[in-house]
Amino acid sequence: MINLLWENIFKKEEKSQKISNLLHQNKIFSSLTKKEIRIVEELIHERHYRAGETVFRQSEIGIGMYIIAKGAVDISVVELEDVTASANDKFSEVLIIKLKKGDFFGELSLVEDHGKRTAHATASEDSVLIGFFKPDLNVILQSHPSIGAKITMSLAEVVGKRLKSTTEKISQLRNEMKMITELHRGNESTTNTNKA
Amino acid sequence: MKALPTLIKRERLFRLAAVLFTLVLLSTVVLIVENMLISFVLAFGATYLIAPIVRYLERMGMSRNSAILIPYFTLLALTTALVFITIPLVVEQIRELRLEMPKYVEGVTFLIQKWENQLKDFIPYVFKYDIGENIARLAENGVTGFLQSAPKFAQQFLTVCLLGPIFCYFMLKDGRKISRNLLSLFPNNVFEMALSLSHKINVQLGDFIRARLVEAFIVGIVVWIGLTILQFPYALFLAIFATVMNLIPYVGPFIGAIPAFIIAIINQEPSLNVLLMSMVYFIAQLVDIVFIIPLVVARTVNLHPVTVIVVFIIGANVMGVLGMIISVPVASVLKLIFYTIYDQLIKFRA
Repeated sequence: MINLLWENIFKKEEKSQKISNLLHQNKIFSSLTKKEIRIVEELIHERHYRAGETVFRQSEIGIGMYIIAKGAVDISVVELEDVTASANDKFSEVLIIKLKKGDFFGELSLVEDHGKRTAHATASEDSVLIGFFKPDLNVILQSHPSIGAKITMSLAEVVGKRLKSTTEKISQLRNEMKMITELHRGNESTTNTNKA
Repeated sequence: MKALPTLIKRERLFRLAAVLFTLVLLSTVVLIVENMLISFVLAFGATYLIAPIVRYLERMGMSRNSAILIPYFTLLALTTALVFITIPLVVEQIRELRLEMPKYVEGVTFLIQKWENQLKDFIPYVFKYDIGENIARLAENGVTGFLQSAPKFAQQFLTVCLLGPIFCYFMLKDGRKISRNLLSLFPNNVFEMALSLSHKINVQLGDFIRARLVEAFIVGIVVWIGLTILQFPYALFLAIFATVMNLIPYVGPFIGAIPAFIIAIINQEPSLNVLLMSMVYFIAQLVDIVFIIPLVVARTVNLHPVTVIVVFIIGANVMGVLGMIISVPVASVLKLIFYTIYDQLIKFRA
């Protein structure tokens, strides 16, 4: 009995240590001190998912982010199979990225009001996720504004980086489309000359 | 979409059943065990009153325990002092009222009989029911019942005084933990909705309870000062009654003023005194409407007046005065639950 008790106490401490380390390694909480991490730890939610279980669905209202403590999560989006086809045509799920232990997702919901999820998240194996949500961030901002400010700044940095990378990708895609259009025009004019 | 494996579905159902079972069990205990509901309501009120101060102290760098203990013991000391100061005065006024009660019962019966006779003269065949006699019997029974239940009431009061502060302390200290543990029972597919809902309920109830308490307290103070200046009998007792009744929306202020008018009519107070007494209640309501409501109750529950009246009647029928007080916040919480589920499941998925 005593052994079991000791074992449980140590297991609990070990688990807390793991969560604390995980939070500390995360970009959003990395600027916090150990004491501040302990305050955040009191507010986070540990959720367990089975392989194949949905974490959230695209266009559902989201209220926070998840950090993968164990397992892996697939991020996918639903797209029309053929962009030129009508809306009644078939949709397909396209895998965007496979996330593993330590990665995080859904952080945009922490800053959006009534923000909808832009992708599906599904546990690809039995997973443990650490959830941090907008109501928890509000509690921190009210009771410990300095911690709240650090988290918000890191969050802004992450969102900013994602925005920058998306802008770069859009500009790259635009250039590629321009090149394809020019190539297509060039081919068309060559065909017309040959016909003439 | 792929069908969810049976195991996940079963797990979700099991978790949902566990949540419902826990909520039903807690509600049953609170409703069935004597004095539990009123102790809980008082503890909730005190917790929501103290919570902003706790947050402020935490913001100032104080540890959570100290931030809880300082306002908790301050409120406890203030309430105890207030009870010790007011109880002897109220007891004295109740004793006086008890001695004069037959006079008031007789007076009210006489008045009603007079009105009844006037009505009978006006519509002679309609009234075969002896209203005056029945009211007199009801009043006598009421007074006897009140006097007989006084020792039980004192015992209930002591139990509530003991349980209320204990519940309040644990709600402040472990409220977050309890709510987190309860939320952990929810299945994954509704967890975010449940968390968001619990936060919204917390904010709405907090705003409502704080606003109502501050509002009722200020109205009570205005009534007490006014009636004391007028040297109106039972000023403190009437002010406490007006404070409690003011917690009931819309009809509360009117109910709160009724005993003062009855006393004035029975004592055959001069018209000027009745006018001044009416002015006191009017000023209290004016202060409430002009200053307190826009400043304090601005973010209160968003319910239609007809809905308020309907839930108020239901509350009064089911739980009496306590039902009148808690029916509106309970209805606002139910409305919030309905709209959140609607938003989540229907509107935003459409």
